[in-house]
This record gives sequence, C-alpha cells and structure tokens, in this order.
Amino acid sequence: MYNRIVVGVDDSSTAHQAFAQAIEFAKMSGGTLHIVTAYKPKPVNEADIPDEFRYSMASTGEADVLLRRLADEAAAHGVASEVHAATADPADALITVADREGADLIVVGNKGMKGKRRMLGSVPNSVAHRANCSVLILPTT
Amino acid sequence: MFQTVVVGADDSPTAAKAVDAAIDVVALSGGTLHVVSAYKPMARGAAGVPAEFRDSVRPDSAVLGVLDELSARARLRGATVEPHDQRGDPAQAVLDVAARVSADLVVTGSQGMERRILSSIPNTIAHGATCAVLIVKTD
Repeated sequence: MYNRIVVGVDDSSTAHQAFAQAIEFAKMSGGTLHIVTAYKPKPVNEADIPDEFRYSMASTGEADVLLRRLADEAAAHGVASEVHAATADPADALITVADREGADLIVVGNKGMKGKRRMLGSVPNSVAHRANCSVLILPTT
Repeated sequence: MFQTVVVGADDSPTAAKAVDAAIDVVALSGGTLHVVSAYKPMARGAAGVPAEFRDSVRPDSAVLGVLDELSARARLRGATVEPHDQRGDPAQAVLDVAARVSADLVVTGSQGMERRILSSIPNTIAHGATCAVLIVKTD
C-alpha cells in the first residue's frame, strides 16, 4: 500500500511518539521508512579547534547519532529504513526527500496543528499543504 | 493500529480515491470503516411534489446512494463498514462521527489543500481532529 514512507524526526519527545507510530504503520504496510532530520550547521571556526578534536565538531554529528539510533529502533521492529540529514527548513527537507525518493506517504507529528501556531506555518501544516504525495498526521502530546 | 477509521465521501472521483485509501488501511488493520456523507436539507422540501415521487426528492436520497455504493465497494474487499448520513457541513460531519465512534484515524482527500488561506474540508479536518489524519493525494 505505502512502499516508501518519509518520516520527519528531531530529538523531541513528541517527534519520538510520532516515530514509534510510524514504525508500526510501516510494519503494517510493509514499506521502507526514510527517516529525515533537519539541522542547522553550527557556525564553528575550525581554526579554533585542536586538530585531534576536529572530527567531533562535524556539524552533522548530533543528527547522525539521532538517525542511527532511530534506524536501529526501526530495525528492531523488522522495518527497513534509510536515513537523511538535511540542512534545510524541516518542511522543505521532508518534501525534498519525498520527491527525490518517490515517496507515497509523508508522516509527521501534529505539533503546532492546534492553537495559535496553526496560523504560523507549523511543520505538519506546511507539509500537509505542500506535499506531492499523501500525508499522515499523527497525534502526539 | 487504526481499528476505527472514518472517511468522508460524496459522489466525486476524488472522494472515491480517499475511500479506496481508507479501505486499504482497514484491509491491513482488520478495523471497521465508517463512511460519512453529509447533505444540506433542501429549503423547499417535498412540498408540491406528487406523493408518489416524494421519496425521490428526499434531500438525503443522493447521499444514501453514495453511501450504498461506497459501502458495497468496501465490503467487496472484506472490510467491515458502517455508513453514516449526516446533516450539515461535510468537514464537521466527519469530525462529529469521528468523535462519536472514538476514531483513531480520519481519512480525507487533499482537494482544496493548495488553497492555503481559504478553509477547505481537509484543512478543517486536519486542524480539528484529535486522532491521526491521513490526507490522501487526490489532486
């Protein structure tokens, strides 16, 4: 039914609630998860860092650790995944990866869909309006 | 997951796509599909219509036809279906049924989502639902 499922994550607990449901849905559907996180590169002046620590300041560090952990979690549930770290606005990152991978579904948590932020372009709202495929918005607390 | 699924429907091709996507979900989850169709009662009613034709102008007759057809389609694929004909606004009708049956998923077509400012049915559902919402790409 849904073979390529893009799911957006960050290090928040609400994102993890949505991710856990996304795993369950991917397992039911028999699809591959494409786990996407967006991050801002840190403005680090490499000249200030001793050579032996330079590798640890790579701006993808935290994003890569998060993606690796979530890919392991999906694998533990028997769900195949690919990971994508993007330096972009989260909604743009999700739509770009979905288009590139030919995704048939984007999964996001509902954070920002209620209350005053609904007018301010939350990630789920932006994705729901701009996606070129179906979108599943999952409830989180 | 997704044992109680609600989908809104009318007689449009895009609504049929949303219903098909909802059937796909319950076919996998083994859940129950609630198909909701809304109607606005006609102002004139059946007054002035000969008694033998009064049934044919009942305001919900078209709605019942749609519900029958879509429900049959779901049953053909082995799904358990409950039809709901509701008076009033389509988005509100879907949200009302979702609350009443304690739905864990609402499915809607994406028609109208590209209009960002004006309210559309999927937009109202996406913001108003307390459960998961699947917006099926239909346009």
